[in-house]
Amino acid sequence: MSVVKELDPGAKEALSRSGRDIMRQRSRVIQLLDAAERVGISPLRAGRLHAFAYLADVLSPVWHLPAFDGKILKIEGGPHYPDLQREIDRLVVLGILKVAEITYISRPDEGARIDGLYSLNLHSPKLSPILAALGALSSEQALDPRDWEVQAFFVDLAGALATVPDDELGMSATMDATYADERFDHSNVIDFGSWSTNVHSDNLSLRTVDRFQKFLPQGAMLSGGEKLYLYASFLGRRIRAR
Amino acid sequence: MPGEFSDVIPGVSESEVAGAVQSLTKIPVTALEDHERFMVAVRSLVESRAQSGWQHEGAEDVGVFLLARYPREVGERYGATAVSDLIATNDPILGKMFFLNRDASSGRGMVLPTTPNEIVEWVIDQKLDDLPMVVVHRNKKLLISRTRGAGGDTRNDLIRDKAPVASVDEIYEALKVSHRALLLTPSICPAGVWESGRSAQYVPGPFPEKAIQRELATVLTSWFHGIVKAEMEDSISIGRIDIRLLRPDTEGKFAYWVVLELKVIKSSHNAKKKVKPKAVKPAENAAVVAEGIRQAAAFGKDRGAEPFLEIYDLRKDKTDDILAHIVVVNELNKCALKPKCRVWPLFGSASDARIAGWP
Amino acid sequence: MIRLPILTYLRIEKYGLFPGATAGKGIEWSFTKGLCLIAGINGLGKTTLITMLLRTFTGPFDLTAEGLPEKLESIVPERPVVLKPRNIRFFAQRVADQAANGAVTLRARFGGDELEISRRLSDLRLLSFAVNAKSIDLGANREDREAAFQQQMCYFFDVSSFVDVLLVLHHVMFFKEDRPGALWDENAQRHVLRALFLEKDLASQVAAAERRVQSADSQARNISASAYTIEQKLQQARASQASASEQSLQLAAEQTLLDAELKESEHLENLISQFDERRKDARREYERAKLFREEAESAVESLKFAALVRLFPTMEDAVRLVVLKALATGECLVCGADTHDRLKEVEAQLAKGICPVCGAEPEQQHHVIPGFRVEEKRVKRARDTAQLAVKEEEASRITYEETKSQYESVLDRLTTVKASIQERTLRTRQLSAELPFEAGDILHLQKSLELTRRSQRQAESNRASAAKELGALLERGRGVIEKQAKKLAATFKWNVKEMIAEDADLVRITGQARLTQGKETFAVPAFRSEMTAADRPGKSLRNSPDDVSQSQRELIDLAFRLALIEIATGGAACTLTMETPEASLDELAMHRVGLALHRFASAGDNRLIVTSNLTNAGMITAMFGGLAKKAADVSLRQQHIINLLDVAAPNQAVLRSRAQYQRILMSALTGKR
Repeated sequence: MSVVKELDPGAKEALSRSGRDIMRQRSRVIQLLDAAERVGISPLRAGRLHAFAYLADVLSPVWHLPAFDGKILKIEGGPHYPDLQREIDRLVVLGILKVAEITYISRPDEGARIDGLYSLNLHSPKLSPILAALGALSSEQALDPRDWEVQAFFVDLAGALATVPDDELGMSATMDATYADERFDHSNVIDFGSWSTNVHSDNLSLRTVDRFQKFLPQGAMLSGGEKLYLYASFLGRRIRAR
Repeated sequence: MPGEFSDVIPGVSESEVAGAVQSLTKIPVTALEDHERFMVAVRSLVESRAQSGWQHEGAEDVGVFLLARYPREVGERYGATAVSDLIATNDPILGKMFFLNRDASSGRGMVLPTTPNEIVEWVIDQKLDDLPMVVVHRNKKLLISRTRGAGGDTRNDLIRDKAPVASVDEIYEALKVSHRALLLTPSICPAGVWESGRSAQYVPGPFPEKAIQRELATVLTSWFHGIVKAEMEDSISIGRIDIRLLRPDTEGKFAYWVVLELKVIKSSHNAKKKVKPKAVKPAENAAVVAEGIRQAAAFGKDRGAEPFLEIYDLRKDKTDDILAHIVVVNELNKCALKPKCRVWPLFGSASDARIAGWP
Repeated sequence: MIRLPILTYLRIEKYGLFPGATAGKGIEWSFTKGLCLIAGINGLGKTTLITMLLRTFTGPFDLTAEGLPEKLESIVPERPVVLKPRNIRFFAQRVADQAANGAVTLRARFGGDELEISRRLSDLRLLSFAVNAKSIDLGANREDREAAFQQQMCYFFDVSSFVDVLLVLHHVMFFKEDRPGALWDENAQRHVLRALFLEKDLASQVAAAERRVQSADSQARNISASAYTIEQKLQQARASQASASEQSLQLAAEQTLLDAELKESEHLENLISQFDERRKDARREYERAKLFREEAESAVESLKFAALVRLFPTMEDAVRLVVLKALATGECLVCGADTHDRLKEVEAQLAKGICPVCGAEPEQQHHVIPGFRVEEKRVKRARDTAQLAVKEEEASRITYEETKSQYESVLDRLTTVKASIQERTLRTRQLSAELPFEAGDILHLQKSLELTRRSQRQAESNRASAAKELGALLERGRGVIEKQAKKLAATFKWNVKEMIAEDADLVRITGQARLTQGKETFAVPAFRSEMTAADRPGKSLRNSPDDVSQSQRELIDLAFRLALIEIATGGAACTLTMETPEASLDELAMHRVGLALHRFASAGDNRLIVTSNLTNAGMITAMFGGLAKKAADVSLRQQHIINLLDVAAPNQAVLRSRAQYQRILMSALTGKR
């Protein structure tokens, strides 16, 4: 940290900003994997973890939560977050996460991508305080009380996605209404909440969820959890119909 | 605009959306507490196996389901292996112990670590006694639930061989069963129906209707899981305590089927210990029932649902037939669509219930 | 020199008030020189009879619609005014049959010409007009007939307008009971003097000039009032503009700034969409670069990984990961430090088979496959690609940050400008609303004032011209009247001394005729009486009727009239009618006045027509010349009486006490009590 103190203010600021980004990413990873644990679908393959992260992002407005990233680069094979992956790997090294069955899968242009089964290192003594601070244990212990609601959202979403067969979880993200929007070709950024000025219009997943109401009588309301489970059902049907 | 139905969603067809909504009765009941949700899910899972004739099961009789916060963590202690989507798969559930999530869909499973008779002890020994637990007894057609863990009270539910149908008679059956098993006496009824320590004096709790409503909602949800969706009015300020049942219509949409309005009649108002409770006059009770008739009839007419009025009688002296009260009769006569009214007696003690002829 | 009529004949027929001595006969009377006494008690119609004489001349016209006013205006009307219907029906209202068939015929002599005028009593319509027994056709149309008649009257009276005829009738010939009094009414005096003494043209010119002066004055005043109003408004406008000029400047400044901001906003809107495109493109490139970098680095890792797995098959994945990352990226995943030097070391160790974690030599190791060889070429190629990818990522990150920053900067600026536009628009609206007058309004007011002032000056000029003209005319007239002044005064004195005990004179003063609302007056010759009084030495001027007693007032006025008649007619004969002259006089005064009137009546061919209430026999006796010495005198006198006790419709008093009244009359005639 003494190195940091000697930096000029601009660099310090840049470092702090990137430091905040890193903490955000790491918190996100831990919350997602905690939800996966709660729902009993961990450990998660990297691809499924990224799919889960993406669906959490695109469906966050269903619970009136702010998007984490609000955008995704549409590529073959489904959503992938390099920044998230970097922090996943770092958390493994830090002993917060566990990884097993590391492999590398080929990517175009002689590239590769790491794959493995990721889960929380439940034996790590560092984990429990982190989980408490992130609102995974109780709202009172969370540093940011809103994280309690965020965590509840992740758990319900993980539970909903658990109804999608395990080997199809990765595919479920590509079946997502926003990701599957044919108006966007691969190698394009889909913006559903980052710079978007009309989230409801740009987020097709949200619009699909809202459309469920049409099939209910007036006065009947769906809870946030029900919406996620119905959406998972929607994804499952799409996968099966493929 | 949110909720605007007229715009087309690119790449999303109406049939896809409609198809997804059809699963509404089958998805977990998110409104319930985790342990209640778990019970409903386990019952649904078990009954689906029972109603399919216990296909793929061996000779085992007992299955154990535990709700764990971290199923993998608990399960790995015992070498349990991963299980997922138990409802959809045909993996056997009897002769096994499962550490599952609250939807009873995924987690860890292993062979029963001990004999069925010792299971509860084993769970307590392993210090897993705070985990909500359901034990399935195939031969007895029984589900024994311990919502507060192995050391807590039990509740027995019948495993139904046949899937229930969405009928009024079935609703009545569910209400009868819940009345007998969950509401009749203080030892079985939920907290909040009676003022703590004053049930023998027939002093009701502050909001007995709410306590009964939650219990009934759970019962009906569980009873009709997979067939009917139950929702309840959550706000006391609206002045309505009801449970509404929705079911799919012929056009693939959901419609209101039945509305159950709940009212409580009592001998006295709620009062804390050592405070003399204020008496409730018969006319007041009649007015409450009349209001319930109005509300049920109004909702029924408004939503095209069949109105029921379930009156839970917390009076000490139940001889006065509340339905014969002139105010109630008049109110009923005003309704074009008369709510079906039933009175369910609740007793402040087991002995009073016995005296009244309830076994 | 005017001419005054000498009444010669009167006939009243089919008028219920005057049935005549024999019913249905009416009144037929020849006026002879001297006195004609219309005797009667109250209610028998004395005033009606006198009014008939007047209306025969005036017809349904007068100086005002009500008849003669109490005091004349400073300006007489240019044309006679039609009487109100009530006044036209004065005679009709007094009889039951509405005077349906009633008519009055009057003959009068003007010099050598005798006129006969007939009018219908119900509506004063002119029935016939004859001059020297020759009927004159004045036209079929009523209005035309009256107009023609009036012209005839002007001719015979020798005045320029019928208004002057009316003036003369009212203030000279007919001395009515209510007695307006030319001496005491400044305006009446001036008009009468003009009418009587100035030759026709001059008299007409003076009257016209007076009207012009008043009209010009009125117009000038109206215009002045308008100008004043406009001036006030202009002053107000200027006053508020003085404070508003600052506001105007402020408004102009705000407007300029607003225009600039609107322009900038437009420019920024264009810019922002460009920058948005750029930042989105940069973002896309950055995301792709990140992915490419990860995949490139993972490619290096995967090669190392394969080697590690072969080399250390039991190594835990987590450890492998640490080593892999270090080997592939040169970055320590634990602390983030640069590991390139360590990388070389580890690679060297690996080449020798030394454990990169604990440093154990191969012979100390278990599960080690010797002869580790990294495919250098492939690794180098992958590493080069990875390095390139890192550079690309960094470059695209910089571009991304830059374009994002540019966009945000423009957005910030746009947000600020838009907020400012909103505020400024509000402010300009407020400033505009607070400006009370536009410059255009003030200009308009100025022009309006200019025009009005111009009109005012013109009007004032017109007034001045009219005044000058009038002044000149009055100057000419003054001379004429002044010439007559001495004679007037002398005649007045001679008349008045017989009537009142006090010593009175007629004094000429320079009157100030006020024809306009302003201070300006016109010098006109005027007459006042000067009289002694009990409580003061010498004579004092009596300017107003309140300066004398009522009886003095009437007698002085009478004396003045008599003087006017004499001087104006040059002593020619005329007719004077008076109503009940004794009304305000004590007995001795009545006697004196009676004698004075007798003298008038006896002079030349004068006619004096007097009404009497029989209340003071002494006056009647005096008017007849005193005590009747002979019976023939009485008989003669009786021929000079229109005895309403006989010819008028009798009222209750007459029916009750006719004989008594007759005796009183007789007593008055004879002078015997």
